[in-house]
Amino acid sequence: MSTDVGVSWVLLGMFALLAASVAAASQFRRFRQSQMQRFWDRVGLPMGTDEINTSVARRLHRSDTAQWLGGLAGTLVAATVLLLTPTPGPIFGFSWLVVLPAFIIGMSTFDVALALRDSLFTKREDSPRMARAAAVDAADYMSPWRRATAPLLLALAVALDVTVLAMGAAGKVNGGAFLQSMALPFLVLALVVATGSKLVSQRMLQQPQPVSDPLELAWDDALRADTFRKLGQLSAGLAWLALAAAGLGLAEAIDPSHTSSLWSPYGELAISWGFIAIVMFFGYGGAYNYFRHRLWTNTAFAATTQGPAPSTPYQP
Amino acid sequence: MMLTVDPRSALPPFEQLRAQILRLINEGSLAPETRLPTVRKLAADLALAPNTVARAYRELELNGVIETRGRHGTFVCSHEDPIVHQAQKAAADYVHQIRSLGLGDEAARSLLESALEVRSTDLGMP
Repeated sequence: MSTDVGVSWVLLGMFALLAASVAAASQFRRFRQSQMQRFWDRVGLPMGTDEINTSVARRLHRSDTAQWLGGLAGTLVAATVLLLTPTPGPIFGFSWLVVLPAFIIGMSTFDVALALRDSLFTKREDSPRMARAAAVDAADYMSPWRRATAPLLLALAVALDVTVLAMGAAGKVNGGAFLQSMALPFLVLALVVATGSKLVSQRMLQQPQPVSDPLELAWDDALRADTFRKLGQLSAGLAWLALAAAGLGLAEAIDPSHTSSLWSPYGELAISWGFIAIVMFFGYGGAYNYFRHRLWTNTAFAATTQGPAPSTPYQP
Repeated sequence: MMLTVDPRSALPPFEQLRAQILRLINEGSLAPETRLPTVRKLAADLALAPNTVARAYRELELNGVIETRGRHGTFVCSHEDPIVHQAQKAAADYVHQIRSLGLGDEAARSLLESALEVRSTDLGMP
């Protein structure tokens, strides 16, 4: 076994351990309480009744468990790839272009599947039912810049791939080396994920929101916005990796022997920092409460439904 | 801009919906060109049968308050005032019926004035 393969197995083990330990930790009451508190802080809605508190806590708990189980499933897929590939290539490429995408796709797939089949509140017989009078769309849940990130990065990746292919056809770079790189498979994967995310977003918008008062609807919107945020982060993250793979493919096409300064560690660092920047961009700066400015501007929830911090932790 | 359906109300759900949408439009809360939820979505949110929502939409559409634009969805009509639009539609229907009866414009005006006078007398208006 080569060093690269050995390190790849260690890396996979670390991802699996991370997913399993967080999934296990999420079963503890204190973990759930802090998670609920964090979400409540970020969303900024009044907690209202105990029923809302319990429903939101239950959904966050289930979502968390689904995400980390999805991460575990993604790690298993990456392990299968490693088993079936005799020479997975350099550890950097394998970790960024196989392990990480498999992990985050697994997390998002399980979480979105839960969001599509789960309903935050249940219908109560004989109680008044409420619905929004105007239709909403994805623009109500995610800011224009966040929605534009994935398409923008994908467009850059496509442009770079096409340019390198054209240069290869003109004999200016080694087109064969580019075709053997991960650039094109990754571009296809990013396009498939972006299209899938778009379709899932449409489906999400048609999901029923059975509620009895505006605050319940606002919380349902908060969790829906969170799913949109995760989908946007997944698409943007994979689009960034597609762009990175195109860059690596270009370096491969220019210097297949890996002797020039193109292969300095700075390039690899740029890929890592770019990915971290995307995760931060989708996690901070109004990423969680943008929907409030669009859908709940100037809405004062009834004083009776105002509540302090979440107080009744959900007991599974 | 919320719609509420009370299952304990004596008013049928479609009428509750129709009246609320009309009120929101008249108040200006639902602006012209606003897209309404799909029949299926609204029915699922309010735990109603799709036919109930479809009936409310159909009646509003017949009154010229909303319009369906194929698969783009259902929109609030862009007329300035839906009440004025309904009145214009009623006037156009009247003219159409008068013409189909073979009567002229003078007869139409005199019949309308008579009807207005009778109505004013009934209501005790000056």
